[in-house]
Amino acid sequence: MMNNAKKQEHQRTERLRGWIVLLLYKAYAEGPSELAVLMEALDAMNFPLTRRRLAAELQYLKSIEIPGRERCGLLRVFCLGETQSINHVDQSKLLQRYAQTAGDSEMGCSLAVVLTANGIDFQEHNATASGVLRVE
Amino acid sequence: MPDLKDVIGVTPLLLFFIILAIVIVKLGPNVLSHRKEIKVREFDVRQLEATVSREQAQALEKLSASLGAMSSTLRDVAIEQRRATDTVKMLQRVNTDSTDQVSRSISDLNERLDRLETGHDEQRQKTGAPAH
Repeated sequence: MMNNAKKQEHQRTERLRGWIVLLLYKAYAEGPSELAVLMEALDAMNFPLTRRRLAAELQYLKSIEIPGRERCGLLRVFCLGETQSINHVDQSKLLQRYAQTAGDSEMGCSLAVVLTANGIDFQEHNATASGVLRVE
Repeated sequence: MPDLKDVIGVTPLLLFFIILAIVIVKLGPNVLSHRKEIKVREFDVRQLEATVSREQAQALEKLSASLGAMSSTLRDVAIEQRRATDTVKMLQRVNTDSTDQVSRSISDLNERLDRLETGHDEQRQKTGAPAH
């Protein structure tokens, strides 16, 4: 019984990650999406999330390893208005700050997220990733 | 001894100066006090002007603070509106793609049904079985 509940929770998490990738894939043509927008869209899809939970899932998707690929991660996180790309450590720090703050005004910037080539390939069936359920 | 003619010639001038001196002595303090009063009034007026200017500055400061707050609120509203629009666009794209997928599935099913019906008709014609 307990095992079943855990399994369901795990499946729900994988599905949630799949939805995140799908929503970002749909918005990919128009550029990066703000985390606030992503959170609202997920809420509309019956996945209400806290900032902490969203940050945790993005952290996972950012650092996931794709078999046969040099670069890891399905997505990239950055502050809106930044002109230079930031490395994985700084992205993790941004997500950590996002999780610990109550709003963008407290954080001092608005975070945005965009799919990497790995993320697009994953959504288009050209790559596989464990821990993410592809949603179509 | 001055000449009488000279004295008579100088007298009006002297009288004039004497009268002028009397006038100055009599009216002098009044004029001075009036001038003092005018100065005091002028200071009062200037003080009032300064008070009015200060109040005006305070009012302008409050107005600018209100305008600042209003612009900040309007900016927040604009940001929220843009985010809401982005969210709707994102969801619309997901829904449109889902609808397209359903439409494609239905047309596929229709095609398969048509093929089945055609096959069935051909089979019936071959066997000569009556139509149901």
